[in-house]
Amino acid sequence: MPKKPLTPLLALMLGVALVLTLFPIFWILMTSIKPPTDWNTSPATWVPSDPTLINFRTLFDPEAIGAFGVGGVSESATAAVFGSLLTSITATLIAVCIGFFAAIGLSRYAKINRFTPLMILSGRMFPPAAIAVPFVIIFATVGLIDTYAGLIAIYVAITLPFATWMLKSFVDEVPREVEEAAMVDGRSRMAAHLTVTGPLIKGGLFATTLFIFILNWSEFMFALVLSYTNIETIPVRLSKYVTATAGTLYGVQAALAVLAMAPLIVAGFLIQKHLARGMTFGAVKR
Amino acid sequence: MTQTPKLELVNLHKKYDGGSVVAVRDLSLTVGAGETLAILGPSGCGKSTTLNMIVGIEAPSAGDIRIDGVSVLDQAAGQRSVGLVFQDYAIFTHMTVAQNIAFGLSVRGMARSEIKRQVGETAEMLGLSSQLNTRADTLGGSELQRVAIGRTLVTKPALLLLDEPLSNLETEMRATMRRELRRLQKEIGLTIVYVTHDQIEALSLASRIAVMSEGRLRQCAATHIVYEQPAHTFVAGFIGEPPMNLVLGAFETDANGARFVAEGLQVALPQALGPRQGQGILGLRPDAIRLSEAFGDSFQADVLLVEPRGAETVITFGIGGAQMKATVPAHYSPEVGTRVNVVFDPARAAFFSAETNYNLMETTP
Repeated sequence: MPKKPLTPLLALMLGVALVLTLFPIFWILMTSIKPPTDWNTSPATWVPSDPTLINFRTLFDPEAIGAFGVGGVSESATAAVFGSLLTSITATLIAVCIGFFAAIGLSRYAKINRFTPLMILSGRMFPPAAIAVPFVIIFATVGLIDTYAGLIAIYVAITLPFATWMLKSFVDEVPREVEEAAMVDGRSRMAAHLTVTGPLIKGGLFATTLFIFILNWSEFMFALVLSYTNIETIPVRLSKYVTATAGTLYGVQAALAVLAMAPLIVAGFLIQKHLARGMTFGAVKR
Repeated sequence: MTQTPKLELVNLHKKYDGGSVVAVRDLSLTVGAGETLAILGPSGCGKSTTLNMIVGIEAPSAGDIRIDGVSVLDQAAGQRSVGLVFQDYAIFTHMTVAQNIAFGLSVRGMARSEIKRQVGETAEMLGLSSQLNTRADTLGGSELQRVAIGRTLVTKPALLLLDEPLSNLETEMRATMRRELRRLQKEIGLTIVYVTHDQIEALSLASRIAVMSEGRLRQCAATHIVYEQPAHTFVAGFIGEPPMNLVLGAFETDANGARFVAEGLQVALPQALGPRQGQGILGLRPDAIRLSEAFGDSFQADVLLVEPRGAETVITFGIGGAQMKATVPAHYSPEVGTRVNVVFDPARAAFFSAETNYNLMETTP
């Protein structure tokens, strides 16, 4: 595709789009290295004159911020980081694993009716808040509320439709004959899927894993309503940096947001590369 | 045939979607050990479905498949000792050439050193030795095809099925692969069933041809019989370029004997057909017809079209109300519109029933 020349109008629109998307990131990065005196000044402090890492230290050492004469935060963010890692990684792996087999089923075998794939997605058509309430009631009854298992279960339930649909599009690209060839060579159906289909959609599996991980990592609402005291994730923790003595601890909040952003940015770059690769595999015939 | 045939298909049926689509109807044929049979037909005639049933990827709706006299219907695809080279090769693109060829062996629990030896041998036979460690997704068309054949041959199948394996190749490579296949077939004594829509490929590779259309077997006979005495008008029209001339006319029998009569044309019927009446179809190969300007007691025709094709020329002429084509040597080229003499060998004429479209002569080999 020949590239169109960059006209002044296009450049202006591009500039506006970039400022709109990148400014919040710039602001949060700056805030995370501002000392408490610069958090909320008027006029705004764009770039701190004496940058500090105190906000990051305060995340894991609640009293550290006291050096600046500000009351410390109530607890460390360690539990939230641990909780986010545990729930996001576990739920992602489970969803991708189940989704892989569901995708193969839908792509190769399922003949229930033509709406089956749509029905799988239908759970996603309700506003999340609408299904959160029944989940709170059910989870409270069966004792899953405020547990990692409960949160992982609901993350799997929410992301599985995405995982299935994404992976199905990749499996659809793999020619059926390749699996049949493996079977003719003596593999069982299952072995054919594991040794041939799986490796052939490697790029797709990777992209799906990253995508689902991003969803889980940034999920806020379910984590908020399904956790009380035992479990916590980063997005929930982020909402708690409000103290009676010092108001909102913007710098500390920003520091945690920067930490939370890092894996997402890495995942975003990786996904780009692998999605591009995922689209071109399966070209057997030339 | 006293020997047990290598492969027998017995009244094979395949229906899809609860019987509304019939891909294969009542197919019966046998393939002898060491024989090469080509299944020829237009796309959608059921030939690939037939291969898939033989190899075990699809189960027949009715009928039986026997290999060496034993029904294999209850055996899974990998257990039948049948190899299949897929039309699009179905190469495992995430593996190297060596891993592709070794794929069928590793599942058999063979020792690593033995696998390596056999993969090496097969690769050498197919000229792939230098590419063993190349990833398959970087290979070109003819290499992919050789990998596909190698992957199948290395498992030493009793029966090798090929699903249009040459259709993706350039003309030159195609000829080479055809020669290779013939050599392999002779060297290993393989029984080959070869599916193609390309009649040249079928005629040049196989000793017998099975012609299918609309899920039915129209004829299964030696190549020259399929060419000279097609069992069905479909076969007559499908094989040969240009195809067999078909002329609708009538059979007449009187004191002078039985003959086929159409406007401007008549042919004595062979003794074997006996006295006949009613409608019929005459089939005549374009290369069985000679044209000349010397008028004799033969039939006259008007030249409608002259198409030079290098070594030969195809001439379309009108005889009575019908149009026919003749293949003549290139140096003979009459003007369009001239009147020519039509001569042909009555022994090479075929006669079909106008009702059933089947050949009236017994054509089974």
